[in-house]
Amino acid sequence: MKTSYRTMAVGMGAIVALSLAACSAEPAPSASGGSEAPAAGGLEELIAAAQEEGELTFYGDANETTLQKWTQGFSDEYGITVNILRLPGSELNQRFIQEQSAGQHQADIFSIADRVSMETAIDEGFIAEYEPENGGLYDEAQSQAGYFYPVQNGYFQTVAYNPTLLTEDEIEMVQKDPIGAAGDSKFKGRVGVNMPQSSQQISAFYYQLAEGEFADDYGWEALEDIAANDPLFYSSATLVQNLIAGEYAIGVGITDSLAFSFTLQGAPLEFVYPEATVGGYFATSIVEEAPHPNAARLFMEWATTPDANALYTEITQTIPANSDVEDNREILDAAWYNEPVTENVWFDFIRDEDFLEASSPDGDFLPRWNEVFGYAG
Amino acid sequence: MTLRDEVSLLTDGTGGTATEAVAVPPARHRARGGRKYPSAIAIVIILLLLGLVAGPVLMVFVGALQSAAPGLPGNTFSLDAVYRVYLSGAYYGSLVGTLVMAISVAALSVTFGAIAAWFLTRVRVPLRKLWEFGLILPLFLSPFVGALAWVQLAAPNSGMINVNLRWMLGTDATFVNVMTLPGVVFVMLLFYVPYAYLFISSALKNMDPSLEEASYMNGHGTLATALKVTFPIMRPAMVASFFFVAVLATGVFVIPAVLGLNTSFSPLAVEVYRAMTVYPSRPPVGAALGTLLFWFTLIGVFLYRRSVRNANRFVTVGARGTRPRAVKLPVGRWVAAAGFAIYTLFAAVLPYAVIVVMALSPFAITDFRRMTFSFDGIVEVWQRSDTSTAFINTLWLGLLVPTIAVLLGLGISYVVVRERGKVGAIVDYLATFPIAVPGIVFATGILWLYVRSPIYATVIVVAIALIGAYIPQAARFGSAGLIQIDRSLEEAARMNGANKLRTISTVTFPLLRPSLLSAWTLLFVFATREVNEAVILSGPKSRPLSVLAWNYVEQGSIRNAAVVGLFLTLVMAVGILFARFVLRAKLDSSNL
Repeated sequence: MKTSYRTMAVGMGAIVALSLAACSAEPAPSASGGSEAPAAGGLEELIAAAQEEGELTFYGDANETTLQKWTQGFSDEYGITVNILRLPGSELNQRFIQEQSAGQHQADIFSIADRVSMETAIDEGFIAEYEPENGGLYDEAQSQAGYFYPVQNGYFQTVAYNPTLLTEDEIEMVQKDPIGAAGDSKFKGRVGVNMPQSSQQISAFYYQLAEGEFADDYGWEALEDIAANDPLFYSSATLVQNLIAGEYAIGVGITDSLAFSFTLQGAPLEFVYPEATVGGYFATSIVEEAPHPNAARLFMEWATTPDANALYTEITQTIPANSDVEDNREILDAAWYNEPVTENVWFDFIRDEDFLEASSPDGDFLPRWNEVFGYAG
Repeated sequence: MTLRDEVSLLTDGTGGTATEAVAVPPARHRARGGRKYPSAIAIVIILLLLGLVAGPVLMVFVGALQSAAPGLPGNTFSLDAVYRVYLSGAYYGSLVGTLVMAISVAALSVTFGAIAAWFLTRVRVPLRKLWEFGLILPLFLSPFVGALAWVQLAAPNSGMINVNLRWMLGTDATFVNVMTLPGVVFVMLLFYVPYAYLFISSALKNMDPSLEEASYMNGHGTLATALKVTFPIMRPAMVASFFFVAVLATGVFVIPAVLGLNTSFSPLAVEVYRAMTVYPSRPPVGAALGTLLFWFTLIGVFLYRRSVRNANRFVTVGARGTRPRAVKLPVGRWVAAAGFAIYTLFAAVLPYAVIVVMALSPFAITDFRRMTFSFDGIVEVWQRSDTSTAFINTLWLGLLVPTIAVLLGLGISYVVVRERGKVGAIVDYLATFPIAVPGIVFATGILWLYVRSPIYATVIVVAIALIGAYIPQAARFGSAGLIQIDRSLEEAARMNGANKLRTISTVTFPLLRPSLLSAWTLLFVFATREVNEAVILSGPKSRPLSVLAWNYVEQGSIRNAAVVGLFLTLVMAVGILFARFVLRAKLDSSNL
């Protein structure tokens, strides 16, 4: 029987280990100590304390390669490693809230395109209050002073096309009225569309055309025309790939920041901002219970500087958000490129109650879109 | 009276020789009549299974009854998700479509698998060894990478095949289109035929050839023997592999997700993924959909278990080394060889070739005339710091997951095969559960369960999820091996005073070595290529290569994804060569 006990003991050990792993209380706070404010006494001390911590973890939903290149600038300057967790916005937000609610503190910096997610995180007390020295260089409408800043610029929805698959006349048509062209029977079988389920911003893009401010000019009829062209359905990243590969010629609902990265490498891809477009700014913030609070604060100081924003602008070719950064992007030289008229861009969809209700899980907007496009999702 | 009492009584009373020990009544009687409590091993196994399998599955059920993901602020009990999924009717179409798809894939996989197994074990097909390898080659390719490769090959407008045939032949025609329902089924077949083939050829290789011999002696021809003798012997294995593949096909989401966004229905597993991830995300609906899938796959698992019980009925490991008589098919063997060549081309050669091309060209351009090649992608990915971290994480997973899963599988099969009884049945069911739960749902359950623990977001939690997910395969290998080993060998050790652990480690384990090493190799491959679960559970520092590839696809960089895919293949190849030449493991169907 002795051996049975031994087996049992080994087994019980394994069980205890497993259940400990599964049920133990929150992990102990890191040595540097929870949400302590940065060491008073200026940047020098903050840098020393941050370098002591040695690393930080960045949670974001922007393009990962972009984030890698950009945060490398910070690592080069201060010798602090940046670990990146990049997930699509919806997933990132779920995961961040889940972790914070469980006392699982992994993230130091939380950056997300969806403003509502960011505001909820602030309300829940997950975001630290911190005012970086250069915070004032960012548009107040796109920041929440003391919480988040649009250091990663804005991004806008476009209609993109593969110029190798269109004639000059066709390109002119798309440039003139991109939404109308996508619904023109001339392009039957050559259109791809992003699904409104890809993100709240894409939903808003379609909503503005069908039921929002531009309903009189376009309305559901314009979307029905596009649907009549038998479009292919994709989510953002696959939409761009397939456009470049030539699976279709015109893509509706492609984010400019995504398209830029390919255009600059010489991919056959150009795009135009429709008159009725939507946009947003990434909101970048410090996490209240950051495991590396000093590194996180130093990162925010760095990210808000004109130099860091100029670097982000150079990498992504998006319009610089920092008022001290001069806009001399390479893309401005491209003949086909026209800047979006930011005054006309719809940013406020995140506060538009009609839109929020229509696009909620119980709302009627997504089901109607699915019906119009004959999409099973 | 327990087994131990009986044994000690015998040995004590007679001086204990091996001969007398063999005279102990057969196991079945003892197991039924005697044992009043489960053995220590059984208890350990049950507890481990509760933590690894039952816990996460239970969390999914809990999650389905919430208003938001468990643990979130403001979360309450709610029947909303259950109502939406079970009663609103919104998902019935998807459910029916999923079942039809799974059953068709399973039926076709079994048909092709059985034909392949028969030809490779009974007919002298030219280059037989090559085709045996070719048939299991797709197992080394992640279905996700394979599906991506097929999009590049056979998308209606931009697929390599269509684009290049068009300019070569000067036409506008579309030759192939993989982005349709038959296309989805075709790609799934490429990945599931190997499972059916492995199951069925194992039954064929291990059967007693004298049965077929007797049929020939009685004047029956090849066809009559194949239909009247061989086929009935294959049938249990065919039924078992049918349900196995059907259950797997119900839960797979990457293939339809990559290929099938434009098909007329959306498989349930894809719906689960969407509910969990896309805007507006509804984790409880995802969990409820997971439970819906669970009930159907549970039926599949029940039928699978029933058929597995019969699958080895005709298996004998005898002393006579007879080989089945080779069937003479002078034309047929060449036709078969051609068939195998086509399959290998579609399932392995073409996808790998496309991945190499994708890794070397900057964009997803498929026209041979416009392609440019460079090593930039390889250099770029190689130099990134997270690539080396991912390499290390993949190696950890490749080491931990198969090793622990195989040991657990051995324990499970020991309890199921040797101890039997009610406890054996419970263990068997628990150990088969994971194939009934789609990976993404299972991983979400693990996340909800472990989010408060210190191992969260480490490689360990990813490993725990993968071990849980692969327990069924490990247990299957273990019990298939164990059934073939005469228990009198173990009883002899027990008679001579060895305890159970010692018996297992000195008798059972060495005899099972070939089976276990096969299992190790296969699970090594699964663990290194797995995406569904790892993508949900890994943190910034615990991402394996497979997740890195997935992330590249998510941000539209097919080239970098292909580069990582090649690195991953490299890791797998090294691992397989290590297993083959250092551990002397052989991955073929005779050990299954």
